[in-house]
Amino acid sequence: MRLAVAVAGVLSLLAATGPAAAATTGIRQQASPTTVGCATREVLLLMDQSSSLQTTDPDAARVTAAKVLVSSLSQAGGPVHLAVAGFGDDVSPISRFDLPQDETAAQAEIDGFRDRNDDQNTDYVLALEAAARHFSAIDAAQECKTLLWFTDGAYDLDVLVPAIGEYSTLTDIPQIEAGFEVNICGPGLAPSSTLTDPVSEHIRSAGFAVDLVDLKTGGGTGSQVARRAATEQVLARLFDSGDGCSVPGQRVSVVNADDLVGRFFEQAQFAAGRTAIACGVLATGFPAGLTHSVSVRGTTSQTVLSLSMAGGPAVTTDGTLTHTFSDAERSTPGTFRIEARDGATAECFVAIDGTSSLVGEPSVYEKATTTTLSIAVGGPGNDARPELNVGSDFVALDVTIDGRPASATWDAAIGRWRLDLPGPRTGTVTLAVTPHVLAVNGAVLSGFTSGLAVVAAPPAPQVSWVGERTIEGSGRFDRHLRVLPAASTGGTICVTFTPADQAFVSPAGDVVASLSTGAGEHCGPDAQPFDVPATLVVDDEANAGGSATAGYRSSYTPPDGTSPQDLGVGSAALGEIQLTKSPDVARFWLVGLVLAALSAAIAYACLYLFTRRQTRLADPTGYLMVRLPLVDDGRGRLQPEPADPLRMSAMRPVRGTRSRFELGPDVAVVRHTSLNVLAPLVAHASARSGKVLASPSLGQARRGGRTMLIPPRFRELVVVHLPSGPGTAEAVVVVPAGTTPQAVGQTVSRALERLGSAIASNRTDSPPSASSPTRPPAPGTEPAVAPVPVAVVAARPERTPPPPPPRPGR
Amino acid sequence: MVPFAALAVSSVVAVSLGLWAWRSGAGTTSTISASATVGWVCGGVVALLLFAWFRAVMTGHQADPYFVEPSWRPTRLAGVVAGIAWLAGVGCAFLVGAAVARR
Repeated sequence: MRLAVAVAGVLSLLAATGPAAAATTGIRQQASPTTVGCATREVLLLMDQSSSLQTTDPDAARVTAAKVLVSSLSQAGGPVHLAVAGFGDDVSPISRFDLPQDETAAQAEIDGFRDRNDDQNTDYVLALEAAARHFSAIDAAQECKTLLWFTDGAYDLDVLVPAIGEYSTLTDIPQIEAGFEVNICGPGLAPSSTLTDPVSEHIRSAGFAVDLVDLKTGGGTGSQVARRAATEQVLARLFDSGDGCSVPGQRVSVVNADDLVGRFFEQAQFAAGRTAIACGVLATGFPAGLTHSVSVRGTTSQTVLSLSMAGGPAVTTDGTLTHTFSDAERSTPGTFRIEARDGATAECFVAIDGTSSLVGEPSVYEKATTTTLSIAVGGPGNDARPELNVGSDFVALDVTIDGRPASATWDAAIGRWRLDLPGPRTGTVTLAVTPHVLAVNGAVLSGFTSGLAVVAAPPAPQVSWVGERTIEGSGRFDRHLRVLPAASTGGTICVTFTPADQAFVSPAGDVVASLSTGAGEHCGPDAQPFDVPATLVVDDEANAGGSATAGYRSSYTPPDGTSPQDLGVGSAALGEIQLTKSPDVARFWLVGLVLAALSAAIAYACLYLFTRRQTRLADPTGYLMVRLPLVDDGRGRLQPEPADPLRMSAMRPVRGTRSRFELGPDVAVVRHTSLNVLAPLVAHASARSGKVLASPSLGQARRGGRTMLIPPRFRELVVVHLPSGPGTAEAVVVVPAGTTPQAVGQTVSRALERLGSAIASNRTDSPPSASSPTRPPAPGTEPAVAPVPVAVVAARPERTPPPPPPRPGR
Repeated sequence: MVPFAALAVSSVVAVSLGLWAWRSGAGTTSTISASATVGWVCGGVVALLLFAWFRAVMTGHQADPYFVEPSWRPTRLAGVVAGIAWLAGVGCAFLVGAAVARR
């Protein structure tokens, strides 16, 4: 039997959400917008096919996990060239698939590994050399080339096979194994090695990342443990970034085959350029504008995962959810959410994509004490639509001005970041901005570095829409445009909108509203923003969106009040407003009430049907009954007649239906149905005359009466009937078929003891002499209730049903 | 416990979806909010079906004469939880209604 030791490399710098069972070492390339930009991803899946898998992974969890990997890669949001090969004694021919279109064929290829587990060797040198040859022929960036390498063992040679000749001329297996570390890491090469360079050098030259998933189930013989230890030493160097042997990538070790699905899913996400994110962030909402794609795995394959965002249908799947956002979705203001039902979210990954830019073409006024710059951060279209910009809830900006750190602040009112640049200045100002996504460890968006000219003329101010963007109904709506002076000098900025009316135009080209700012100049101090009143005119209400660009001419008056300087003509994208019709009140109430009534009706109908079913009595054919006359023991307590021992022959089948048990001429158990679906689920034990008491009963054990509430699904039932006139009190006992007379006797004794005080209080209206014969108490002992006498020899119950009793009155 | 837990989860989901839909501006435009729709299904239908299941289980327990209801009164609490879920469902229904009313 062959050993195997784990070696596995995996890339990822995050390490955030892996389960405790997985240990991660190594370094992965940082996720960045560039990883989203791989034109094609190249992935090689190398699967161990050594015989040790028969022990470490008998259920072929690796196959299930690899199929999850293929499925995830198929949803990477772009083309993936997947190559699949097995290794052991040798490396099998590589099968190639273009995902997503070849997903089915790739899955079928993966299925074949279920039975590929009988190689005697686990030859890592051959495996890594094959991977290096595969990737060296591919011209792509390193972050786009990934080896996903699964193994459960160690570098372990049991037999000399021709394939070993590819890297060694030796024939002595221990000598070949002894050269493993040198052949992988160098320096130099092992004696009689035919390699040109150490394998790690080939990996680095080929430029790919090694993701190793290492199944370490433990155990094994002494020699196996020794081989694992020797291999471990090499693998540790391979994934130690401080070692000269290190290669890009990461190693994840799992101790249980059941954890493989999670690790393969994780590796697929890394290979697809996604980065781990706390699932709680996605549960509360994350900007779609910053998200190229998202992938989530539930705790079980039955976990229902749903993605929802404003204005779009929810995406719902079981087990795993992967969604690539379209430009239209990313151009929708707001966030998306991930929710889980029938489980929880286990791992969440996102591919971050976003940009940042300076708004307008700013310059720095040489005399300004402060120059204010606007920065836009967001996804597609955010430069023209400020509502798409992302603020301090999700990103932070690293800003340097001429190499010195500075801070930008988020202005939610205008939907932009603001940066104050102290002055006065001369020459050129170099501004560098790098946005970081707060929720994703180390993820950065595209930043920029800009050289701002220091000029002698003050820059033109910027103009932004302020306030809500949803307009209901038609008419005139008072809003504001905010003028944002770019340079603070103590002077005055004036703005004249040209034309005074700005049109909001829908994507179809229709004018949906107009914005009137009034003629003339609007002036304010240049030290701070000021608002210009604007009236939005909506002639016809509609459900439509429209955007506008405001044109304006601005001028600057210096602090000394000298003649104003013309700052030229500017324009500002006011973003998109959403017009919506006023709700039709009648329709609002109609739809709301219909849905509310529908939910109430569905609920009522379901509850009623459930209640109807739940109040059914048990099947009477499964029960036997016996009627026991009761006598007074002389102390006012009733007990069965001791001279009439209970025999099996006295037990009769219960007559009736699931709505009514006939228990004698005067006693019945009746199902209770009600239109009140919230009423307790009960049945009635009732008597035609006199009173009844029952055990078990519901809530009125001491009261007694013509009827008594009992649970409809009793296991055994004792009904004590106290006739109102002449006659003998009796206990009617209903028990499951097969109950012995002894058990019946115990049931009756317990019931009479439980009902003793209730019986006594209910007999006050009917003297003992009138309802039950009195038997003198036995001298000496006073049991609470005397044991029910039982015949020692039981007989089969009499199968002849009794004559039908009259229906008891109510 | 299972039906009660499922009922509680359904109720929480319905309330959460309703709040989320409301905070997201559901009903302020003609777009029917997916969250509000799912919230209505969760609170107005699913939760009440789970409540019925819970009652079925409790009825089975009541058949045992020695059954003692836990001190936290699950029967009463389940009614309250189902009521909350249903109200959340109704709230979601009106958010849907508001969107439809703008069409």
